[in-house]
Parts: sequence; structure tokens; C-alpha cells
Amino acid sequence: MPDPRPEAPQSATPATPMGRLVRLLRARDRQRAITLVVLGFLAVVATGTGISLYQQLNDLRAAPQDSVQWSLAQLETDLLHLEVAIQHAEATPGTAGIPNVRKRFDLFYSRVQTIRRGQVFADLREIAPVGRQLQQLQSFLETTAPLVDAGPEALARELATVHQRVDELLPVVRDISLAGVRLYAAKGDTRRQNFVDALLTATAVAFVLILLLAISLAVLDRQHRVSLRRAAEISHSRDRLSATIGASLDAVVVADADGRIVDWNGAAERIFGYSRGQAIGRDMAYLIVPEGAREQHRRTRRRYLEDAHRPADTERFETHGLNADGRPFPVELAMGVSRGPDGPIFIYYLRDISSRIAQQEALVAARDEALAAERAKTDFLAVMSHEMRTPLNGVLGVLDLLERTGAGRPAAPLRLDRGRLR
Amino acid sequence: MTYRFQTPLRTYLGARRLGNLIAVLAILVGSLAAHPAARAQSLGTPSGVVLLTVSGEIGRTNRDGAMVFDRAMLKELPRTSFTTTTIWTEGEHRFTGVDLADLLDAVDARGDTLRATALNDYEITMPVEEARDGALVAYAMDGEAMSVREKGPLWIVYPYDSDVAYQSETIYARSIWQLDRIRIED
Repeated sequence: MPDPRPEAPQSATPATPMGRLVRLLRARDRQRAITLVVLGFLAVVATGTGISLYQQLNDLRAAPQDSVQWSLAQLETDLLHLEVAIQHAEATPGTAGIPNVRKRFDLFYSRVQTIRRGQVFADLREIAPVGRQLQQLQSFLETTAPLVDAGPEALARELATVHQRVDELLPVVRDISLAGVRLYAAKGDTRRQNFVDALLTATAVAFVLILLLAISLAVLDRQHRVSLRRAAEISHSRDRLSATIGASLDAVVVADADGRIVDWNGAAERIFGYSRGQAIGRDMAYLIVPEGAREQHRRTRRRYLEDAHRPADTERFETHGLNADGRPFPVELAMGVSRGPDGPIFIYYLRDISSRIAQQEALVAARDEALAAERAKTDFLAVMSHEMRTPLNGVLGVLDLLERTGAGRPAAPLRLDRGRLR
Repeated sequence: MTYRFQTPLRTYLGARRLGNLIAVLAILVGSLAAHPAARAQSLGTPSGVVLLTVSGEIGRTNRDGAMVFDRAMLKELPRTSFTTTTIWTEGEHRFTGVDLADLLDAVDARGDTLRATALNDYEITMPVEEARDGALVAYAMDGEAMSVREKGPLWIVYPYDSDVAYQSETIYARSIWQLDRIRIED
């Protein structure tokens, strides 16, 4: 029998709690979305900073700064070496100094090619005057190389020409070197500044991340504490519940949706004769329900399983239980249903009423006995009065006759009241 | 039963087996000869222009306590080549030459430090074990001999493109061109 009362409050106030729940959920979603956006933004910033840092580190590692500066400085040195070699050759009779001039020319040639072609000097070459000056160096090399390659004697004759060209080149080479110093100093500054900026950004990102980490740690810690407290509360209430159930005089049997016993209290142990260990996990229908009542038991369970919203019957009814000896005995049964995520849980409260039934039966028997005795007495009296009246009638007739006739009157007349014998 | 008759075929087979043995021996001897120390002895003396002089703590010498190499002698040593760009040139180039490790083996280098000097007296030093790590004494670029004007005739290059480890300032400094002489020191 579905009790209409539990449904009434549910249908009366559904809007307020539901609406509040929806609002809460929405608020939580928004919070989550904001958190996700912030985290995503930070992740992008962190990744970008990381990549930029990595690239700059690679640049720093691979940047041939010193090598570049050295090569530029050597440009002038090599030209001066060439000039010294020429001066030496001019001061030396014959062609003794010529091989050294050739060697120094070749080394200078090589140096100029390095600066003209090397990848690392590309930005230096892009500076307009430097490009022009390098072209000037190249034309010197191209016009002078035939003289150098013409053989020692020929070169010895042209030494003065070469010397003059070298002298003209000296300020050009110096300009290139100085332009290089300016360029690479500025580049170094920019590179360092970029690196510092990247490091600062990385530090800021790391700081924010650490801050976020600390916040989430605090939140986590709070939640941990809350959950600990809740666990303690749950454990406490479970203890209380199990104490309540354990102390119950009625047998409390809890069964899952499949009818397996999941809880079995001390009273159940006493009433049915199975220990808790024996009962848990067994099919309740076979363990404690006598054969005649099983079908009814199943029907009841099925009704709850099929209708998820069926409220629990609150009526008590009498049926029979089966104890460990296989003997059915009368019980009074009340039933509760608790719905969890794994389906409904059935809670049965069973009271052994065999002594009550026995007492009732004894009472009825005693009453019947008393009624029978009463009836026997009445019958006896009726019979007795009937049986007594018949002989007395004769006596009364004789006495009446005696009185009327007066014969044989005794000294003390016997008075008999008729009424008393009726 | 198998060896009852000395048939021509069996003689041939026997001879072939002997031939195999000789071949194996030859390979063994050859690989022994290929051992650096043994090989160095067969290098002989240069007949052309001396490109490289190796001196100092070395076990093989051919002139005045030093080992001198001309182009032909260098070409007899195990050849190594790779393609890479360098920061001093434009585009990729194929460098061919002797792995510095092979060169050190050829002269039976015993010291710990290698001092390499260029024609312009640019000089670098490095531990010998690091010298064995990928450095190539190139004598040809793109199959052509290099003149002094093109950083030749010898240039220590590394496969810069193969590993960022070869793109460090130290490696660039060790990439000595116009290499003239090497001295092995304790």
C-alpha cells in the first residue's frame, strides 16, 4: 500500500531546492571554465616562454661570437702581416723575401673570403659601407693575385705597386673591423637583453605557477580535511547505526537487490540460529523463508525492483520464518527499502512471535475450558432440579393429604414451604 | 669411404680449401697490417711538398724525429668524408680527409695534449682524447684540393650539422684552417 504522505512534501517544494542545485551547478561550471581558461593561458605562456628560452639557449650555445670577432680582428692583422712581409722583401736583396709575401697574401686572401662568404658575417655584409669596402678588398685581391702568382721575379718587380695598394687598404680594413665591433656589440646587447627578458618572463610564469600550485595545494588540503571530517562523521554514524541495529530486540536482516544477505544482527542470530558469518552472502529466500512463503516473498521484492519510486510499505504483517533446525515459526515482519547506486537494499525487521501466539492459544483454551465448566454446572442443576422434583411431588402429595386429613399429627408440625423447593 | 679415391674433383676441392685458408690468413695478416702501428711503418717518406709535420711524443717518425706527410701519404691513410655547412663558408660542402684519430694512430701518438698550428701561427691545444672525437683533417673540399686562399691545404673540420655539440665556441676555435703542424705533448 503506497502511503501518500511521503510523496506530498516532495511534490510540494520541488522548485526551490532543484533551482538552487542548478544554480550551484552552473556556478561550479563557470568556476571550472574560468580555472581552465586561466590554466590554458598559463600553459600557452609557459610553453611559449620555454620554446623561446630553448631557442635562445641554443643560439647562445651555437653562436660563434668570439670566432667572429677574432676573424674580424685578424683581417687587419693579416693585412699588416702582408705589409711587414712586403717591407721585409723590399729590404732583402733578391727574391728571398718573396715566398713569405706570397704566403701572407694567400692568408689575407683566405681571410677576406671568410668574411665575404661566411654565414656568420652575413649581417655585417648587409651594412652598406661594409659591403662596398669588402668589394674594394675583393677587387684588390683580384688585381693583385696575378702579380703574386706571376713568379718570384715578377712579383719582386711589382712589390712597390702591391705595397701602395696595401697601404691604401689599411684604413678600409680598419673601418670594416670597427663596423664589426659596433654591430656585434649591439647584437650581443640585444641577445643578452632578449635572454634576460625571456628569463624574467619564465621567472614570472614560474612564480604564477608556484602561486597557483600553492593555492591548489591549500584547496586540496582543505578538501582533504573536510573529507577526513566527513569520513569520521560517517564512521561515527555507522558505529551508531550498527550499535542501534545490534542492540535491537528484533532481528534486522539487510538484503541486496539479488536477495543476498548483507547484514545480520545479533537478534537475527538468536532468532534464526545462524551466526552472522554463516548468514552473510546467502540467499535470504532459501535461508530463512519457509517454502510456503517464498513465492510471496519474491513477489514483494519484485514489486520494489520494478517500480523504482515505490515507497516502502509501512505495515507490519505476520508470516512464518524458518530457523536453523528447519522448523517454521511465526514472525511479525516489517520491511524498509533504501535505494542506492547499486539498486535497492531491503531491510527486514522480524520479531519472533511464537511465544505470543502460544500465550494467545493458551488463553483461548482456558476461556473455552471455563465456558465448558460453566455449561456443565448449569446442565447439572437443570437435570438435578428436574430429577429432584419428580420424587418430591409424591412426597408433597402425601404431605398435603396428611395435612388435610390431620391423621397422625406430630408434636412439632413439619412446615415445608413449597416455594423453596421450586 | 669418402677419401678412398683422390679424384681430380677432390684435389680441386682440397686446393680450394687450401686457397680459403690462405685467403683467411691473408685477411688476418692484412688486418694486422691495417693496425695503425703496423701501417705507419709502411708510410715511407714524402716525395712531394710537405703538407703536415707531426712531432713530439709519437712512436713513428720519418724525418728528424718528426713524421712529415705529403698529400699522397695522407691519401693512403683511411679516408673519411662528410657533408656539412660551416659558419665560414656558404652552402654545404663535402669534406674529405683523414680522421684525426686515424692520423694520431698512424703516428702512434703517445702524449695527452695536441697542439695544432696554422700557417699564420694560429694555434690551438686540445686533449688527445677529445681530438679523437669527430675531428677531420680535410685535404679536399667538394673533391678538390684546397689552396691556401681557400683555407687549405689542410683544415680541421667537424660535422657541425650533425650535432649541436659541434656548434660550440670551443669546436669553432679548434676548427683550424691552413693547418701546418701538429705537436703531441705530455
